[in-house]
Amino acid sequence: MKAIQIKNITKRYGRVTALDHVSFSFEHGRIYGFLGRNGAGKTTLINIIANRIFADEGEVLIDGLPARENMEVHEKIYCMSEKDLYDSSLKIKEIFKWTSRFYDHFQIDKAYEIAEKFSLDTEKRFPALSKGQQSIFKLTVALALDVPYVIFDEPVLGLDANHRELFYQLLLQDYEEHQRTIILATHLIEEVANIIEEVVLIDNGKILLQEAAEDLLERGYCVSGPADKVLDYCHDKNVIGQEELGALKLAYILGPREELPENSPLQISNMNLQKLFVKLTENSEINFPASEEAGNQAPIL
Amino acid sequence: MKKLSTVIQYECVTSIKYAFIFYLALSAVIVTLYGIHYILTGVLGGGMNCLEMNTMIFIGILGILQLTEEFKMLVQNGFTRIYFFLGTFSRFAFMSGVMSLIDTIIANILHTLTGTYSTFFGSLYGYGQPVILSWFWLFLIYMLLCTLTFFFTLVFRNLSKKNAVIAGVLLGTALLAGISFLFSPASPENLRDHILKCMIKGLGFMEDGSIRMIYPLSLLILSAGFLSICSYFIIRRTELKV
Repeated sequence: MKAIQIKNITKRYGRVTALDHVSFSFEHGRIYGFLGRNGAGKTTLINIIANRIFADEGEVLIDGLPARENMEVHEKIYCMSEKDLYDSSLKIKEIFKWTSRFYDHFQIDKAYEIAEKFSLDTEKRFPALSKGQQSIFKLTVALALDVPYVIFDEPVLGLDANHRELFYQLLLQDYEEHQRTIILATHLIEEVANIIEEVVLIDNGKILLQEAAEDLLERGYCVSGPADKVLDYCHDKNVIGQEELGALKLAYILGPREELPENSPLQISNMNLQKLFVKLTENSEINFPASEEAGNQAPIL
Repeated sequence: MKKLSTVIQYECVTSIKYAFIFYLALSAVIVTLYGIHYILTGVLGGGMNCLEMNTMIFIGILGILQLTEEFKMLVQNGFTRIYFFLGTFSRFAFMSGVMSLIDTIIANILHTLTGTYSTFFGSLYGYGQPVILSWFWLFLIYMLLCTLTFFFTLVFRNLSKKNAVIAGVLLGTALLAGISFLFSPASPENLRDHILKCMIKGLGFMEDGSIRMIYPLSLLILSAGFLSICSYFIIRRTELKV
């Protein structure tokens, strides 16, 4: 199977359960938004996939091969991490050179091309770069590496708006040229909302949902109007959040939209991905609908 | 095998510059001190016998830093722990080999030129042994130091701060108490004599006054090998600190 399969992964740090029996898949050839609040378990799961830390239970399979301590998956996956894991004594051009020797599929010319677009000084050592330049270097390596699965953990950290735009543009360009799985773990949800095809939402170490971004946006909406009318409308619906503004009430709903009758005092508006994310995660104790892909751990609303 | 050889190359090539900087700094210090001594006394040589000791400190630090720098880089690039271990072992062997060779050559030249400089090996076993043997012995000493500091770094890194402090205190106390007990009147004389005899024999000094280098060489190989194997078993379960 061409996918990253996460099977029943559990990771504990002392008494804290960072990941609690997580199971889902990242299919091949899609762009995923891997979203979650701080401490939700995103980086822990990414580190397990990248064999940096080990799961207490469960396993990760990459194209059917175990990811743990397996050199057979070396040319299949690359993880650009938020943490700085590069040799601090090497210049950027030296790291490019070594990366091209570590990976058969590293395109060093492409790396220099991208570096030039970002005005990255390849003569400098990694610690001498600014935070933004360090992020640029890390995403340059990831973009120049032609492997089937690339994970970006907070790729635009410290980047200005122009460089963020350039990164998204290069990412899409690369994806158009050859489809591969791109996993974007980020807090800047609205920036990636137009790029991602599928959303995986993690909270408190559990997968809340996995769904196509389009479908999710279609299912999420906001109803506003007089409080009593809104309450009537929300009866038997999956309400994921509520707000009150004087006599006006807003309810955030996840589920099929019901047409409003003519002359209804209520109004229906769309929710953007960020709003959906906020509403879903601030009510994470509420059970949410299971999507087919999310497997059995996604509870029912 | 291609990837493994790349890792080994990376480990060796990226470490050689540190050795170069170290020797550059050390030679500047030695030349300055010899110069000052010559100007003041008119005699070449100042009784400095610290070349190998300095390298030992350097090699020890190399063993400590291996885990912080190299592990990160190799894990970032998707290599497994066995590759990291083999790369580490190769780096230690390479650095120990090169530095012991340089030290043996320089120390012997200094000894021949000044007559006052004592090599580490020569001061223990005299100058009648083949030079290649003194190089091999020094190589094993350096290997042991690398593997020792690397092993302890691994052990302490895998412990929590509290446990690391407790382990450090217990280890230090046990070592001090053991040595104190051994040389105190309270220790059984037979035991003390037996241990001392074993240690002297381990160093290659026989009771009849002859020197058998096979003992210290075997002991060093076994110790470095044992520490390396223990390190591997810890590395297998070592996670990146996140």
